[in-house]
Order: sequence, then C-alpha cells, then structure tokens
Amino acid sequence: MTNKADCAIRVEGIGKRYPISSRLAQFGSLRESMSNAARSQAKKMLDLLRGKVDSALDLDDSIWALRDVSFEVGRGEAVGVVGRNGSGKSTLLKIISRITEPTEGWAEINGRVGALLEVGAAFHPELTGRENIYLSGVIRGMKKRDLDRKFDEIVAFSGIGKFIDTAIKRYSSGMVVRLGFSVAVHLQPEILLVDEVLAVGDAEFREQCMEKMKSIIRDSGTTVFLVTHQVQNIYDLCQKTIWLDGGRIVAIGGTEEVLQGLKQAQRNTALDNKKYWGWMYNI
Amino acid sequence: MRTTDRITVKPSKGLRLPNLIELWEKRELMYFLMWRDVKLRYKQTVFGVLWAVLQPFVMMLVFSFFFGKMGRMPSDGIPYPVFCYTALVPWTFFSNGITQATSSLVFSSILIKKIYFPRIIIPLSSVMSGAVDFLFAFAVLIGMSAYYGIYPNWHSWMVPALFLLMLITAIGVGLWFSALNVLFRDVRYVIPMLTQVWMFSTPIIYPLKIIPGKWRVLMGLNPMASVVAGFRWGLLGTSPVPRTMLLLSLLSASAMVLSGLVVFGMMEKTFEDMV
Repeated sequence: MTNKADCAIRVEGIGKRYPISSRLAQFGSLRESMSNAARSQAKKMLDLLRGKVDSALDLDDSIWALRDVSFEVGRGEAVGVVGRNGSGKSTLLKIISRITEPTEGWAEINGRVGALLEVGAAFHPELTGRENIYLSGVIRGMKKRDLDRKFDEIVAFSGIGKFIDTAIKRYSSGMVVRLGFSVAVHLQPEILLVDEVLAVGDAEFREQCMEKMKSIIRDSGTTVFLVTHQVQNIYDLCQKTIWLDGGRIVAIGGTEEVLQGLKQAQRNTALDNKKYWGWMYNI
Repeated sequence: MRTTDRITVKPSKGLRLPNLIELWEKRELMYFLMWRDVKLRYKQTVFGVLWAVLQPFVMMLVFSFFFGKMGRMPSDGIPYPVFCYTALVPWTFFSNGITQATSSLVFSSILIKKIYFPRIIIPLSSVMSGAVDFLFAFAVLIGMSAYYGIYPNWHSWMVPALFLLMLITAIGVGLWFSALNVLFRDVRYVIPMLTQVWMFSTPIIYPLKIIPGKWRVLMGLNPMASVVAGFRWGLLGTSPVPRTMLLLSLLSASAMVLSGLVVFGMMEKTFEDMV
C-alpha cells in the first residue's frame, strides 16, 4: 500500500472505552455510610493520581466505543467514514485530533491537524462576527498574523457582509453556521477532519461548501477525513471509505465497493424489519 | 515555526505533566482567551470597568466602619481605610482568580469536547484575566495613598515581585480546583467558604504585627500573608516582611503550583468525558 513516508495517519489497534454510568455520581448517598464514602473517595483520588482512571470511575459499566481499529491513510487522500449513529465515527475523529486519548492502541499523525467537529464551537454569542473570527481561528490553531491576512477572504466566503461588527447572538442560525464554516475552511491544515458539518446551511451554501471541499482536496494536497451520513458527499469527495459498526471496522477500501456493501446491509435490515412489522403494511 | 508535526497518540500512564512546551507555542491563544474574558466581563453593564474598583472599595468601606472605626483595630499607624484597601486590592485579584479558575473548565465544556488545544490554557487565562481589574484598582490605590499623603517608597520594587508570587499561588490553587471540579462538582461550593476562611487567615483587616513574634514567620506558609504584608511595606512604608517568611511563602507557592501541575496533568485525560 502506501509507504511509510507517504503516510499521513497510521492507526494501530485503537480502542476507546467510555463509562456508561459511573458510581461517582452516587457520592454521599445514604446507602453508604459517610466514613465508607470518605474511604472509597480517598481510594478513588489515589487511583486517579496513579493514572488508574478505570478503577477511579468504577468502570464496571463501560462500553467500547471503538475497538481494534487499524488503518493507514496516505498523504493527500480523502477518506469517508460511514456507519450508524453510535458506531464510533466521532470517537475516531476525536482520537485522531487528540481531543481524547485512546484506551488502547496507538496512532501516528504526520501533519498539522485541523478538526471541524462542530461549527461555531469556539464562538461566543456576545462577541461580534469579527471578534469571533479571530477568537475561533486562534482557538483552532491559527496565528493572528494569518488571520489578518485571510480576514477579508473569510468574510467574503461567509457572506456575512455588513453584519460583521454585530454580536452573533443576533445572527440567524444559518449565518452563524456560515461564519463557522468559513473560519474552518481557511485553517489550511495538512490533515482536515470534518464531522457531519457539510449538511448545514441552505442548498446554495451547501453547494459552496462542497466546491470548497473539492478544491481543498484537489489543489492543496490536504488529507481529508470526512464523517457524514450524506452518502452522496462521500461519493463526490472520497476515493476511500471506512465503514464502522459497533466500534469495529466492517469494511475498508474503495468508496464504490464499501458503500455498495453498506447499501446491501441497510436493505437487509429493512427487509428484516418488514418481515417483523409486515402485518402493519396490510392495515 | 513548525511546518510539519509528527505526533503519536497513545494511552498515557502514570505521572504526567501538562505539555508546557506546547503551552508556550500557544501563548497567543492564552492572550486571546484573556482578552475574551475581559471583554465579556463588562459587556452590557452600565458601570463597566468601574466594577473592578468598586468591589475592593466597598469592602474597604465596610471594614473601615466595623473594624477600623467601631473595633479600633490597630493599623501600623496608617489610616485604616488605606491600610485595608492596600490589602484588598491584591486579595480581590487572588480570590476572583481562584473562583473563576475553578469553574473555568466546566464552563468551557463545548471547547473541550470539540477542539483540541492545551487544556491548561483555560484555568491559566481565567486567573490572569483579572490582571486588568487589578491595574484599575491599583491606580485607585495610588491615588488614595496620595490623598492620605503617603507615597511609594524605595521598597516599592517589591510590589511587582509580590504580584508574581500571588500569581503563582493563584495558578497553583486554580489548577487543583479546576481539575477537581470537573470530577467533583462539590468543589465550587467549597470555594466561597474557602476564600472566606483564607481571607481572615490573611492579615487584611488586621496588621501582621498582631501575630505573636514566633508565629509570625509561620504565617508565610500562606503566600498571601507575605503578599499583603509586602504590599503595605512597599506602598505604605510599614515594617518589612521577615526574610524567612518571604522564603517560606516562595516555597509554599512553588509546592502549590508544582503539585497543581501534576494533578492537572494526570486528570487532564478525563476532562473530555467528564466535563
């Protein structure tokens, strides 16, 4: 496949476990005597300081959001990630972007990562559009210098125009999204992670975003990771696709065949449903 | 400047400090978060930055009436209002700093869940954003001393150094509590009590001299005692802070910030899920 130098992302046996419920929440409940509680809390603190997060949080009720995930992504490749809700797509992006640590396995990332997991996450409603461009740009890893240079371009792309000096709490939700996306596409990372944000805004703006994504992939050699439920976007943008289910990789490979498999599986589930709920169709 | 980064992501184990090199690289972000906090604090307020001065000033009026006038508290021969205000200016910075730092991570939950950056920047910037308020309150302090005919003496050079000591202490406490508050939301209820108790254990309404000689030096375990006594020394010309007491404060503050860094570094990885 790709040789080592061309590798933008290498993931080896990555797993991530999350607690479903932690007994921490029951601290001080009447069931436990206070001294018991104090002792177990002290033990938890010690465990935590020793780095044993699992026992500190009583992870007996836990779920593997991601397990045994391994793959490689070459430099400049565009990869789509598909799967049902809760299949681990977002967790995967969170690990690659270092928002959260894996529980097991490792990943090697070669290149500056820019992640767009939520548009406008770095915005503050009380600040103006201008202020928010700078604030969110810097939080997402840009330098003020670069923002000065790209400012006009960002504003132009967003179409916010004369409202740039208005507090964004007075923007429509569409305007906020456009501004957020404009900042994000001007980050110019070497690896761009995008989670379900192309589905925002009106049809015209979605079109504009798709064009921008295409030009990012085509012209700048950026490695792109795209999580979405809009299969069409993946057809349009990605040569390669990863299909996740229950935290594990079901299939990985060329977009055509993986999506073919996904479609087949969805059809089968639908048929199963029909078998079970078939009587309803006759009513 | 770095053009490419090579990062390995893997589970961390055992003792771990926050990445301080990365913190330095991202200092611009720290500046922006401070700027945001300052900007937001007085947005849609009528009195704006006047609040920065009003908070210690009103405390000073109350204390001057009850402790100075009615209680006849000794004040090293300095008029009580200026004696008290000199201590309240650094104290306000300190107590606001640790209060804001404590809830800072929880308030920034969306950022923590959606964007990667060194988490330590959040409590640090919320402690430091109080510096602007401090400067305004400090300007009033200089004016007030002049009104009473007291001018900075040649020990005033101590004041910036003491500000740093206070900053280190506030950062140390802020790191501890901000991290603990992510896991145990009880912490934010502890803070108001703690700041009350801490204020009365610091020579703010009373002079350091009131403490018997052999215990006075031990007051240095509380770095704020040295800060407050030092501010009075440098700005009002009261008797100097014992050198051993200053040293003790320096050690104590270093211990707080080092342990704070360790605790923060080890709890950091739970933030994304627990915040």
